[in-house]
Amino acid sequence: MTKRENDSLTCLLRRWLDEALPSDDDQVQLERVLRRAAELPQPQSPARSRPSRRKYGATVWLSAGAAATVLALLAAWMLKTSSGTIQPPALRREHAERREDQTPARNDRRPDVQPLRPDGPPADTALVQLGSDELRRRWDLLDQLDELFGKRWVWMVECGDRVDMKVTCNSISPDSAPLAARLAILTRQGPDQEFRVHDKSFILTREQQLVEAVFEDGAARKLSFWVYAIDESLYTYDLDFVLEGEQSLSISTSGVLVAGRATQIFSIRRGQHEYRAVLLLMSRLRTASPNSKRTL
Amino acid sequence: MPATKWFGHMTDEELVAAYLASEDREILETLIRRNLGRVRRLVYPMVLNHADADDVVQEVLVRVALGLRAFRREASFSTWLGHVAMNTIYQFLARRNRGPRPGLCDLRRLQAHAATQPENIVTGKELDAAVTRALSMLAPKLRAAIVWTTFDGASPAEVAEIEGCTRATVYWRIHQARKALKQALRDWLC
Repeated sequence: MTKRENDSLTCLLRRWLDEALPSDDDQVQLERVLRRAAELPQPQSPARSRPSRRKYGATVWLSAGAAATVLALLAAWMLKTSSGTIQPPALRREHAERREDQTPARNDRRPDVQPLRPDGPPADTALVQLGSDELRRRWDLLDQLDELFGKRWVWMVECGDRVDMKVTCNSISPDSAPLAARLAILTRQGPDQEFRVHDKSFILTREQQLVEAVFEDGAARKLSFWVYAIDESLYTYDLDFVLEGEQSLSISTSGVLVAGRATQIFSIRRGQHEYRAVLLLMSRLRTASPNSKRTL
Repeated sequence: MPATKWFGHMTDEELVAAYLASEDREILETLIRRNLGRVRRLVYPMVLNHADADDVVQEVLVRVALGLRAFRREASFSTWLGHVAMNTIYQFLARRNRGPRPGLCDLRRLQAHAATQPENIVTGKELDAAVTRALSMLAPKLRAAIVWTTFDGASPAEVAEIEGCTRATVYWRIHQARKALKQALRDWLC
């Protein structure tokens, strides 16, 4: 850190903060804090200094269990009303529209049955979704990794017919929950064409573990991927992906994702060719119960 | 202020112990006054908005004031305050992020956008706009790594303790954040 202490970026950031912060309202803010602290009731039990989802007490687990049950029921309902494959909202709406004529009386109770908006989510994200059987096979693979390596496996990346994985000597923290992700590069040759999958990778990893996979034969790929859970369903990620070959592509991005929702994270147009990167992230927490395992 | 004169020589931990023993409002005032600037330097670069920063700073300090009995002295008061501040900030950001936020990922587009905004050019606040936008493009954890190490002066080991992750993760976050910031602010760097 020493060499960074006075580098130009550090100096610039510190100068920015010094100029951005007001310096004269300490007393006003102090008074507000003290007044609010005096008005609020004292807590009955000591506040937790660093809440961690996996360290919550029974109450939170019960709440999580109830939420999981609701999710499982919702997912089961979705399965029952679809063909068994997870669909993005756009496709669900299309199916719902098809059902309108058959069950008009139920439409009032289904607020999500709306005409597809022109600016709605792109339908091509459906190409990235994992079917329930495929997802179950992936989670089975994760169980087998756990069985073989315990908490020592860090990540596994599957790209075409190549697999790369990392196993460490030391156990990973039990707080580092397993996650599955699919990164797909979609392409089409013109605005009238359908998107097709140009390249796809499947990743099993854990929270806060850096995935660094390199595949050098054929179309070379380099992947760096890192995920952190903001809450039960919201994740922040950082992704660097380089695909070399006839159509080389380089992606470097970070952002926030909702688990289970395929999200377009990158797009580029080269002449008539259009490329899109779509990322789907799934948390094991949301599919932990036997009933819900097949449904996410 | 009289409180500062009386208690100014005491450490934060000593102030907490004295406050818990006496519940003397002046001691609490000294403790909060002493840490107000630090909390503000943690909060503002994370939320990047003065109105939100004021609310979050207050929330943090109220939580600290009300939660002093939970301070178990296993870590320093500074680290505990950091926990409370970051938890409050993350909760706030998670709430705010549930709504749509434009262009979370596209650094280059937003940097170009910020640099060409007429109000920024006219008012001479291009640097403020550029840094604000560059920081806002970082994922919260990456931004926090920069906030801790650059603005708070914490070491990666301290950040790892506060953030509840490994030191390697902290180093990686700092590296990623600095890489993105250098790219976004390249026109401002020598």
